[in-house]
Amino acid sequence: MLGNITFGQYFPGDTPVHKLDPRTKIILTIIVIAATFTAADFWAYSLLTAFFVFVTALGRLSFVRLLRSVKPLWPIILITFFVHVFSGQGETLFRLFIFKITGAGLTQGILMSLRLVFLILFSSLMTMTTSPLELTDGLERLLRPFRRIGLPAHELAMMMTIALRFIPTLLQETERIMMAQSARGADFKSGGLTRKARNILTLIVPLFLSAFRRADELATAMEARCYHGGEGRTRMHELALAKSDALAALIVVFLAAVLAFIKWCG
Amino acid sequence: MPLSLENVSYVYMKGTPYERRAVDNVSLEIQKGEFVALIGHSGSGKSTLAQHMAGLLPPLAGQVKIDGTDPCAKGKEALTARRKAGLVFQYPEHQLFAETVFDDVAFGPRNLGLAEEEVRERAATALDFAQMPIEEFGARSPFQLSGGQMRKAAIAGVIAMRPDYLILDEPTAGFDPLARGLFYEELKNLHKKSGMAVIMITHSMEEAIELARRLLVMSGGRIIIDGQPERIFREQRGELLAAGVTAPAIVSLTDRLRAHGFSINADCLDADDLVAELLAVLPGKGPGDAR
Repeated sequence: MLGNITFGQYFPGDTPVHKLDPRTKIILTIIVIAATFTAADFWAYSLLTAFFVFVTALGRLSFVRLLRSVKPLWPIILITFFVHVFSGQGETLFRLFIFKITGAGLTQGILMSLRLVFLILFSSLMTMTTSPLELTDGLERLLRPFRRIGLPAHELAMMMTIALRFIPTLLQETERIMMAQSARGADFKSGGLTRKARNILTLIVPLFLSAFRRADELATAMEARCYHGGEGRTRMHELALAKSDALAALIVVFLAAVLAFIKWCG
Repeated sequence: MPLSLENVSYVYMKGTPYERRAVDNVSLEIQKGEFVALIGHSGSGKSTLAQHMAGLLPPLAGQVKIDGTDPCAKGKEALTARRKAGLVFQYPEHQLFAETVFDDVAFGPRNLGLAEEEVRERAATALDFAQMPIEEFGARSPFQLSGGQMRKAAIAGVIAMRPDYLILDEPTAGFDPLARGLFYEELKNLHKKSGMAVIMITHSMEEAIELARRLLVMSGGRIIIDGQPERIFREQRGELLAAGVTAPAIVSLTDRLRAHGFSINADCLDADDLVAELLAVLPGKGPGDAR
């Protein structure tokens, strides 16, 4: 039922992409996504596609699975597409009811949708090759300089780690409770609105209770292991940048430079 | 008509690196009125199989039929079939949700569309099973009960559905021996009175033989043994060992007595039987004579 969410799931591997430092991956993903927003013509998108194919192949990921990660967001992509198509300026290509469709609008719609697709693809690429633990580690390290202005970097990272850790657990729990209530004749798919609402209640109350119970147990377990926040805390795996990180950065910066060149000078 | 599974298989997270086979080509048939114990160590696929039997999880391959109807299909008939099987999950107390014990137990019967009178009658009977009289417990909040009472109230919620096939997934996990004994007595009575089939999942052979007349032993997603306990202990020790399940203490005791020359029946599964057998061969003085 809920087990098929591919967006953001980690697929372990031993490829150069997996081995990159999480900080590198976070920053480079941001750069690539920013570069995507400068892409506005065929050549720019071909280049991005080529880069995407290259990283996917290097990371030994399945294209199908990556494309599937776009699925949950297609309504948003569709809405974006139509908003741009219907609000385009310029010469009218043809009419649909009260809407007029223009060439410029159509191009704009396609470009914007493509941008969204690439945004999802590149962020999926990052989360699929980086374990949640590495990801929060990298984030904590990147946010550390902002501690001076009062940003609780360690606490934020810890919260994220815990949240990520418990998503699958809570999904499983939801599935279990849904089944258990179905075994008592609850129907979550059909029925009137009031009946549906009442059935959802039978799911939410136990789920909340279990979330609180788990939170309580986790807090006790952390206390018992003398957790006291980030102050003076050392780590088992110190992040270290390697040559491959520099190489990856070079490739991405080059890509961004070419995209910028296409946009402003091409 | 029975509850039947035909070549049922299930794989979790199919097509990902986390793929895990839970149920592997299982076929079996359970008749109304049977008391079956499903045994196996953790991860052998017992709970997944239970969800298939209750029609809650459609198998990836194979067929589940409850009284001849596929419970995983769509439509009214499948719904009726699904309602014939009641599954009590592990730690069912985690599914309580209502404001009062009565409302929680009545949730199932109300979903069946019964009249309020009938709902009340069923809830009262089910709570009797849990030894929690409705007059005393009905209006209480389920969240103020003790752990054991919460469990029993939750189980009553399934029993109030009056399923033809009651499936219990380790219903006594975490109970103390006294509570466990009481629960089994009630379960035995319920089975005798109602004529429903009871399928109990457990990993303790002692519990299994105390109640069930048929054992299903599961290992690696397969049912490797299916039969009467006495016959299994006589003929299939090797398979039992391979499944990581040990014969109950009373069987080892009987074995050792027989090895020492006591000519007693090997099929004792009950302390009283064993005592009777021993008394029959001992001429009243002591074991010395028998040697």
